[in-house]
Amino acid sequence: MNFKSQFPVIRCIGIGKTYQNDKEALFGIDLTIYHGEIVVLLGPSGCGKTTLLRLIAGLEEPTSGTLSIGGQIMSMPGKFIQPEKRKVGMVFQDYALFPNMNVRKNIEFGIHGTQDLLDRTEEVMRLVGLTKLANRMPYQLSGGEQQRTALARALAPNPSVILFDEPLSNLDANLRGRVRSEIKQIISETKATCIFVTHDQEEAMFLADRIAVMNNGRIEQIDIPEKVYNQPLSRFVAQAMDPVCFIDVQIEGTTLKSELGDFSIKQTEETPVKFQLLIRSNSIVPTQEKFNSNAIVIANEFRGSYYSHIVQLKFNNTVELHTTNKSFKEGQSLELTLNKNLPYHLYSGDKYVKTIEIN
Amino acid sequence: MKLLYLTCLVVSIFVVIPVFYISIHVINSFESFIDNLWRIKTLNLAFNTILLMTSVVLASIAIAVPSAILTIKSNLPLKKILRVLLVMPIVFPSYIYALIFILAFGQNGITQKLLTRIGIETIPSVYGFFGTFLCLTFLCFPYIFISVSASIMKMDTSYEEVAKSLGKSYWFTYRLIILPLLKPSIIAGCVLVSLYVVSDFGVVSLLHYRTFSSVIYNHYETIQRGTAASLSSIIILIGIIVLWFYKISETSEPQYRSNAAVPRQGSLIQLGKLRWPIAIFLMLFVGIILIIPIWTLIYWAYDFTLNYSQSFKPTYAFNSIYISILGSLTVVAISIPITILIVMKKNLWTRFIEKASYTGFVLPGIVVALSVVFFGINFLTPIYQTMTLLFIGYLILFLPVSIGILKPVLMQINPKLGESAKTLGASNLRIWKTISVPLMAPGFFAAFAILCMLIMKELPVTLILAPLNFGTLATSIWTHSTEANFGDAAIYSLVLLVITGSPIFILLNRGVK
Repeated sequence: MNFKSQFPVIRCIGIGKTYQNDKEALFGIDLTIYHGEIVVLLGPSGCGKTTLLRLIAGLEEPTSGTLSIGGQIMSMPGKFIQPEKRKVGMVFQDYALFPNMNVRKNIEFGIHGTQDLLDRTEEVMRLVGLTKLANRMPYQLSGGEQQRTALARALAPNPSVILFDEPLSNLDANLRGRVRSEIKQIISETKATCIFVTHDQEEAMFLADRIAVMNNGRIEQIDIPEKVYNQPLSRFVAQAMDPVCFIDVQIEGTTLKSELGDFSIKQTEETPVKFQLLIRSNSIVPTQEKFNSNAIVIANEFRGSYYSHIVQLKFNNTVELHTTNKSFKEGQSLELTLNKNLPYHLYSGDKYVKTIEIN
Repeated sequence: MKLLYLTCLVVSIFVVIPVFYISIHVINSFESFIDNLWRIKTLNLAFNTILLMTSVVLASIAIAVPSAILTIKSNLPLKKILRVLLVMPIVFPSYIYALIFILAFGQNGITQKLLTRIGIETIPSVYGFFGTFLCLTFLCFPYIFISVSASIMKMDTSYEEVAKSLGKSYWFTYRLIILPLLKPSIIAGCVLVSLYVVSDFGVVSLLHYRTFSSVIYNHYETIQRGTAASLSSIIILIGIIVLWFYKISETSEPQYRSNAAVPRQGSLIQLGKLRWPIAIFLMLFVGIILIIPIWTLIYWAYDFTLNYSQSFKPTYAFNSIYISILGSLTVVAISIPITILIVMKKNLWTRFIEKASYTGFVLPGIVVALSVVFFGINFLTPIYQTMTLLFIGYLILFLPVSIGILKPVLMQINPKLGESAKTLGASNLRIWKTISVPLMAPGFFAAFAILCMLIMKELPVTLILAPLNFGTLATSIWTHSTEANFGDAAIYSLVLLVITGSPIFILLNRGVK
């Protein structure tokens, strides 16, 4: 669905945040989030994603830039609206349920007005499946149940946007998958606008309508998951989505020269140019001939439904090769070649340049 | 928010009155201060105080550390009972324990009477250094015992096990590994004991040992307030030097603890043939520090009830209960905004407020009392000799205790709760009412209960600041003791002990299990 046809709920223009010790957490963030869409901020610790979330919530004040929510300016030089006056819901990593109140009272907390209160609480509890647990206290709930209570509590007052700060990190790995689906289902039923923060690319790809990959306080790329995965605009973004590696290549005319062999490509370069080529696990294929080995298997990992062979190329580059049986032994030399059925992206420096195809 | 800051600043200023006033006085008459400092009498007092403090600390360590190790980590019989009984002396307020010493070991005391029958006519006098030293040691060693016990129980047993696997004897292990690891808890206990001894008033005054505390009170009585102030400043100096000295000897190396989810009990030291002899020895010791005192008290109280019961005044008990409840409520109430402020915001102001509130903790009660009196006489004459001044005294003394109890409770509250509430539209006031206060409630009750007990047992401040003719159990016990009306003193002591002692007794029993 193209959300850009909806109205914008959140607009960040030039948002920046610097801390007292001159530590810059965010610079020049321009971000627009449309009604009904789910945007995931993805990145490693320290990239600024949680800071951005907290700025939107109003729990911290930006040092520069303008932020508006639902068409109203919440923050700009000289103006700052407190979090309690913004209609922004938030679900924290550790849920932050009020320990002295039961589930129902927790959920009711953000609703004002009387008749609406009862109806709305019941509705929200039914939505997340907590009706039977309404009178339980937080310490009597399991992790997943606490999660759902936190979500219900944030949903109840009908906020403009719901913010999620790594909501699945506190759950067991096997629970995560199920809770993830439940959350996605609830959100789509309510058509809520959401922003998630996570460091898990799989989670990001599952939940997001758009993913914003962040690094060192900037958004490197924001787009639908398929584009971010298949056409990463920088090396960082590529590495954020998949374990990948880059090999040095040179293109002369219509020939691509690399350590994995020379290939004829569809595109052409007038003068010889050097690039870095993005290699994923499905980019490399072992060949039948064993004349020139260009790789060594350094480790084998059993991953349940497949084996992952860690293969070392020249210059200490490693890449994973997946097979269904344990086809290679540790220490075995291989000759690899490129998979001709895929397009390949070329990078210069850090940035994406273009895509080529092999004949 | 601004209102909060203002209130807290005002309170801090109040609380710093003692130090402030005494410093002013010393600066004003600097020459006479220096004069006083070098007089033989002053040096004598300094020597006495330091001698007492050092000997009590050393003796306490000598008693507490081995008995802690024996009652926790050896196969001693009667371990559990001994652990409870050895800690019991902290139940006694110092002046009651001193009174008991006089009754039990004094010239006309029970021990004397018993020994005369066997033919021993004289025993060492309970007054002076020896009696004071013993009395304070028995009162103080439980603090080191408790501190060290906690450390022993939490200690990682891996060290002992490694030493054993390397073939070392118990003696080696304890000397070179366990004891050094206990150093921090021993030091913590020692700081408490040193400050306690330096600031003690009850024991030194009743047992006639000349230290700063007892002499300051005499000077106050004889209206030599100037000298009293000078001497007070010297006590403060000693206190500061003690703290500084301990800070240096604190180890700054981190104490490693294993992360094992379930800590294992180490193996017990095997005492062999010495098992029962040691146990009996410790029981005898308990007999001396606990059984004889209680028996003495009951004996004298019984004697009193038989002969003088008409002169028993229940008003003392009512007064004690009255000021402890009122005083406790006041101090806890005032400590709440201060605790909230120092936990919520960390800046220069709040750090000043926090440090200022702790002045009362290190000052001897007698010094606090005097400075409040000076302040009252010179600036607040209308309320001199009224309850307000008394409550100001209690505030200075016990504010740090209340903050000390409330602060960890408040800090345990997840800050995300407040942020969560904000995103749900709650104002600061609502967050308070519905979240912070209910979650702090257990802390309030604990602080109130503890302060009630502390105020009821308190002596010097109540003695000096309470209005005339307002006697409490504490002040009447002391006054009767100084006037040698031992029967009266004993009965009131029993009443006070029963009221304040029972909760501690119950808690200790639970804690040890």
